[in-house]
Amino acid sequence: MYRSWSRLCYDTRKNLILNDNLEVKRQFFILLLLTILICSCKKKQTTWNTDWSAPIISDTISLSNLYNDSTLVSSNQTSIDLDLSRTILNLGLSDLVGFPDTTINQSFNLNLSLSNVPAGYTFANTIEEHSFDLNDVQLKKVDVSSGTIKLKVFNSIATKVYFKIILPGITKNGLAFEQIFFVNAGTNAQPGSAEELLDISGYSFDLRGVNGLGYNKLQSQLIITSDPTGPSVAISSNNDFSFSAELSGLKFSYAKGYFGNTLISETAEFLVPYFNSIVAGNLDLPSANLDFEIENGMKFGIKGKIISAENTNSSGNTSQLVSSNLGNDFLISPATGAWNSLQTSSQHLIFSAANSNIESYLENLGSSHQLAYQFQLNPWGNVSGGNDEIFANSRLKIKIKSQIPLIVGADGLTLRDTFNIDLKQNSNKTHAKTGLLSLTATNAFPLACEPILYLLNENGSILYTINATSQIYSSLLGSLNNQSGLFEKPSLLEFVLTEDIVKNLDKIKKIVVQAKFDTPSPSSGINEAQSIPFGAFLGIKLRLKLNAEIVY
Amino acid sequence: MKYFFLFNFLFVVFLFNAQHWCPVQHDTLIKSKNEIIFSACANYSSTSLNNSLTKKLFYGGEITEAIKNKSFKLHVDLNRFGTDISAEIEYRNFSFNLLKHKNWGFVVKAGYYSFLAAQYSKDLFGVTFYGNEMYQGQLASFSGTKISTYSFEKLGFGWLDKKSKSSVCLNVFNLTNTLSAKINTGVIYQSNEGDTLMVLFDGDASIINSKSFSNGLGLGLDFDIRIPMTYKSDEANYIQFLGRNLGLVSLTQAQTIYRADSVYTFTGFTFDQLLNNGDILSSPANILDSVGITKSEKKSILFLPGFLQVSKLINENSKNRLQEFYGIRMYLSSIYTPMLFIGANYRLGKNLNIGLNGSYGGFTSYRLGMYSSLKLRNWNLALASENLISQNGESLILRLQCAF
Repeated sequence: MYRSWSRLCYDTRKNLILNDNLEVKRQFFILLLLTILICSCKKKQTTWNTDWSAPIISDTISLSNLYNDSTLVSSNQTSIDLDLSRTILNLGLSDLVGFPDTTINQSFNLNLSLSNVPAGYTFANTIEEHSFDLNDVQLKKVDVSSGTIKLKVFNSIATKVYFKIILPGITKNGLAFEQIFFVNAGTNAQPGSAEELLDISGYSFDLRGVNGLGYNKLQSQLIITSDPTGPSVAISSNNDFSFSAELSGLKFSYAKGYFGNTLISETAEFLVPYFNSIVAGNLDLPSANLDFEIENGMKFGIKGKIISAENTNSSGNTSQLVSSNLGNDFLISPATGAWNSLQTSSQHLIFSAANSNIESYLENLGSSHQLAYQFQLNPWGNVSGGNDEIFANSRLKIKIKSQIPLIVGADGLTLRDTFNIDLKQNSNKTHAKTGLLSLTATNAFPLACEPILYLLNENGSILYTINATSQIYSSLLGSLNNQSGLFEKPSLLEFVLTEDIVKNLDKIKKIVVQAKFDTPSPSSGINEAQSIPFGAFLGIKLRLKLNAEIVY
Repeated sequence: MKYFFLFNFLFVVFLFNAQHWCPVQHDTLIKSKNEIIFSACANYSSTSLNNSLTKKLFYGGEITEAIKNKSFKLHVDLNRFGTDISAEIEYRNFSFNLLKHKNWGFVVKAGYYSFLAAQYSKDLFGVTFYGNEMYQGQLASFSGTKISTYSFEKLGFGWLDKKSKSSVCLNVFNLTNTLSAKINTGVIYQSNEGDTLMVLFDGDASIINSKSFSNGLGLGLDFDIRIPMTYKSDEANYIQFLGRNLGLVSLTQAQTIYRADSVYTFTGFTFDQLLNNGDILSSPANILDSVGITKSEKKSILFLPGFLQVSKLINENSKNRLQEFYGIRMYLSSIYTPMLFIGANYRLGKNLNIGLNGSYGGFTSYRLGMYSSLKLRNWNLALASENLISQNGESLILRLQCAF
């Protein structure tokens, strides 16, 4: 038995080193060499090739989801019309009648000093009239749909007083606006005061003033009574009593009066962003009319004119509408009826092939449209004696209407869109080597499509161009599907992703998808105008096949 | 004789086929005060993976179509594969009297162990090595697949009976990593056109997302009980009951558990999903949600893949040059089937033994092996092979024993 750990170690060393010293050393050296040899082995990468496939996209592109946005309409469920209706201008009461935030002030001083005014004595009862400057607008009556009034009262005598504020022209359900304040005692230097913010929605303002013949006038009445339970008080002619009423945020639901002869002259711009993607080719649209409808819901006359119309396409080409209808004044009568029986009056300016270059104007496929117009209210002045009316539902609108049968003749019409991508792979890890995008399409549109993919680097330079192995054939080359009632043509397209493309995936930062459309006749092959059938669709199934090297 | 030994040694080394547990030449005589035993094992075997493929997996290189095809042909519906890599050093002291008992010494040992057991379907092999395209229009079934891996270290101290050389060791285990996965039902179907992918999946996987050296601690036992058995009149033989790494570990890091029991059909994204709802692809959580995979975390207690073997030992002091040995071996893993082995040991000289053995079970089926053991003074070097014929496994086992 060992008595100590050191003794144990000593014996071990003795056996290992001193006995058979050279032989043991040699054996250890061989063992060490073998260990180093084994430990220095580094495993190579294990690799093998695999073939994978997975569905990527499965979707159906149709026009059905656009039917309700007034771009495409179908009245007979067999054909589709392109509805280019847009409302360019839509003005209402709040756009025409503005009432600035206003503060009414009324103050009162006794003509002579009273040394002993008893309790509960009314010593002031005055009415004042306040005028507003609304330029050439002369309002007689307005109904407030929303707004607030902030009342403040000030007392400068030694006892409390009652302030009764009445705004005689402002009524609701036949009762005048009235507010009572019990205000603490004060001095001229430090008057007692009270204030309150009130909602005046639903009130009517009679703006005809005290005599009922004016306009833009409000009345206020101030009644002041000494404290009924307080002591007698001395009131000097120097004591100030005042109130202020701050009207703010007023919106009207009705206005009556004369609304001036304001001139509205603007250029409206509206966009059709879909047309931005068209980069080349022609689209032959059928002849169509463009109807400008000016609708007047105000009960006063309007004079107007369309000054110019132009559109600019994605190539920068601008087409100007040329017509005798442009630049000429037209008059629109006032609307008739009450708010619930309002009959608008309207004026139509129709641009047809007979009086304009409308077809070439539309075929420019402008994505940006500018329309310059001008309107003047009350061109004949205040002919109604200030009895014009605007209701909450009164609108002044300019609408463009054009309903074109969706008969399209495409000849190399080329759409292009760009997507950013950021794909990376490490060739020292599991990675793709080659790929194949397989597109199965079922086309019920009478259009043929040749897609091309451009793979761009970050500077926008084309690195690779991938042409499809086939085209998406026009439905007219297919057969009738009795179930859908449409001609359908299946197509199989493949985009080959070569080893070089896949190897340089990290350099590809943008992918441009370009599609060239034609509408070939099934008999002659020449592009002709084709009617887009109701329910037309393009079913797409995109599958990715990859040859991948697994690295382990 | 030297040439025979050299042939045998080189044969074993270059084929890398060696018996996992070389039959122990049992010697009841106490000839030395100390023993240091270093043993290392790198063993894998399979029912269906040809060595040409597994060699590439372990040592690197390209797995060609020919290599894949060779293994694919060997596969049946469910197949097994396992690896066992370990290195252990053991010190036995015969001079110290443990607890003042003259026949008791002590044992100190330390080791590293890595164990992998996998049962997998033929289609899983097919999809892994060929991809899913060849299953277009067919069902690929992964049902019944399960895998478990462990890598852990051990430090033990225990009792040694000097006469019988039996020992019992109490071990502390450090779990470095573990992984388990099970597919109860797993089916992938792809339509003929390749436009529909349907996945039926019921299974779970548990992994530890930590690169720490220690992710769990545990306790366990090793035992090596040798019982004398006399069935020949002139000499005793010993039956060895061997157990290693029989223990539990408690995880100190939570396992991430992915579980799914759903049917998922994928026909491709819509344009709206790709263009307007781009986040569908941006987050792994979204993808997991969309295919019905739930994720949770749990700390649990795990059984280690313990090793059990009962075998007859070789008597080093026997007068007979030819001795038989046999036994049964198993791991505590449902994938490992108990392995029966039988063999013969021939003493060529005083210091050289060679042997042949056959086995059935484990991670494969039949195997034929051989071993050699050379004694030089106080050193004993043993190399073994259990797989001379089968091309479905390899191993390299080394045992170096020094008595002083």
